[in-house]
Amino acid sequence: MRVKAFTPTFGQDSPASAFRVRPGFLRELALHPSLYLMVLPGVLFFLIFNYLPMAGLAIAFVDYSPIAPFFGLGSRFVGFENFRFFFTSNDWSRITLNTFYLNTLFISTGLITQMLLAVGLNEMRAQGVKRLSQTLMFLPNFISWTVVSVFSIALFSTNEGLTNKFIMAFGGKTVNFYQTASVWPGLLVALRLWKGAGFGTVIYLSTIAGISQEVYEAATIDGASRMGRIRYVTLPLLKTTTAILLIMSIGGIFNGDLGMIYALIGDNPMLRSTTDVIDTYVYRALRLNNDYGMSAAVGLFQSITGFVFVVGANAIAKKLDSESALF
Amino acid sequence: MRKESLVDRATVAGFTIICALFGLMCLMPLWVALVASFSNEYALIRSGYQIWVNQLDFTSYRLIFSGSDDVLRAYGVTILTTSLGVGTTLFLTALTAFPLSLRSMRYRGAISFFAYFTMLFNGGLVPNYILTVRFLHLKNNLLVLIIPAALNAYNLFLMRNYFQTLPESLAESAKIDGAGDFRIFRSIALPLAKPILATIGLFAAMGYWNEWYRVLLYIDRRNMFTLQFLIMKLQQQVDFLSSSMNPQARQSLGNIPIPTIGIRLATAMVSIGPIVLLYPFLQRYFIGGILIGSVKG
Repeated sequence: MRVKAFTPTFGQDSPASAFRVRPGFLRELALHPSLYLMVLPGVLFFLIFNYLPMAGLAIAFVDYSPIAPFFGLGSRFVGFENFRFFFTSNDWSRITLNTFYLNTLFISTGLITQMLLAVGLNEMRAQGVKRLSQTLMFLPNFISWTVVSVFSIALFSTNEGLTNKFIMAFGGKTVNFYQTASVWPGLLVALRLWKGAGFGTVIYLSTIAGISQEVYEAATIDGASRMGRIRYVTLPLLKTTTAILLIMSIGGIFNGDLGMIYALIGDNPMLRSTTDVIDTYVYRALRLNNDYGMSAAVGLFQSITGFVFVVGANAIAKKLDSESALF
Repeated sequence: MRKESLVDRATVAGFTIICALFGLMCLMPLWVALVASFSNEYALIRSGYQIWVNQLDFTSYRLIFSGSDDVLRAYGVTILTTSLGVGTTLFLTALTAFPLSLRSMRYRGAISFFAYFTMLFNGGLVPNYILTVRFLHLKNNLLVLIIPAALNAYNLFLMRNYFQTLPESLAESAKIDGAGDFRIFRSIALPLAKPILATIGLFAAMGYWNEWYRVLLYIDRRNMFTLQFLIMKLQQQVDFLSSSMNPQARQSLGNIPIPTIGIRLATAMVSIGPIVLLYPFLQRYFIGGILIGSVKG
């Protein structure tokens, strides 16, 4: 069994030639009127909710004024002024680095933990314990970050939090988690693993389930121990899956998780030095300062880097091992 | 069967312990919050969060249901947006995916690419905000919680790939019997697509149920808040509910202050209640869903 993110196939037409309207376009519509009528709502949906905002990125190049024509798009053209404003500010390197650093932590710890847990679940023999721990570790995936944030207070608040009570029980000094910026990258990683790592094992588990038993038997006959079988059979066969998951997440490496960070720490300025990411910054610039132009410029920067990273990571994967490429 | 070596048995034991511990860790915060929501607020502040109830106290739950309409109303809003949202998602996704699965449609490749490109590139926060508020005028309109999330390329391809696995001869014979494309879609394709509809519907339901980001951006009327956004508000402003409690509820407390932490915990527990209770029964559909999406046929 081959695991793949999903398989977009575009018919026999290559994407580039597909857009060219050929003679017979109207005839094709007349041939299958009901089929084209059925896709119409969906096509309009993508046009309105996905393509109009892409066109709206033109706001990144104007000095946005809400009273200008075309929903502000007709404001004074300023070229790359909004970009210059952002990239010369003191903030950009900090928030870009934070975004990159946190995402790298999330991706690497996530993949390692998922792999470890999947291998572990696969090796477990006590079926009851296995099923129960699997159920428990999948559950947090369905709990929203806002509720996780309520839990986070129970765990990390200074006076009532369990963690500090635990620290005190061992004679340590209490930590003001919500006022100490340096602990948050670690806490965010932990909370994210808590929420997502269990459910993330599903894809690895399915890959492991697809490995032929004969390979394991052959390894056993050759004298491999359990650890040996994991090391020389299971892990190498998880390589492709890992590469695909990695490519999929690398596209979002400059997308900060606003949903998580805003829900967990809100606008707390004391924690900004380590937790302020591009998305929280853009959100603030938009909501608090009404800075549309710069926010759109940063959004465009994110979209383009995301696009380049996905296509680039895929090209590299293809070169190394064509099995691992996504498209 | 051959007897396993000591090392092998130790390996199994080690992995069992790791996985069981991780499972317990996953349960722990939920348990601590549940216990705290049933505890007396004074006890909570005095001795912190516990792993067992010290003084059983239902005050918080009583207050969020009888002291203010906010929680019940947010429940109503959440159920409404979730059910309408899931319905819209399934309808729109299936309707668009079905023609794209048919070989006879010549422009299906072009249309699929049109959808696929939205996964690679997007406009980001600002253009979406302007689109929603100024072009579509959906500010303070519950439709903003339902429509924009109703269709995405990922679900579309899941659905299309599923339709593609259905035997084409079914549709062919229906066509010979005189059935039109709509008829084939409704009477043949949809009934056969129940498993994938269930999966997409479940994931969509989770998304709608947990929605708060769009509320943060587009809704500022209190009577349209979703449950998750209400919790968000309580996080930022701990007296958000208690400051507007009705006088009877206040009086019934005597001179005890309103348990603000307890109210926040109880609201959170009430909001995840349906998920936690239904989840064990739905688990296999969720897992099935991921696998349908990830296995290359």
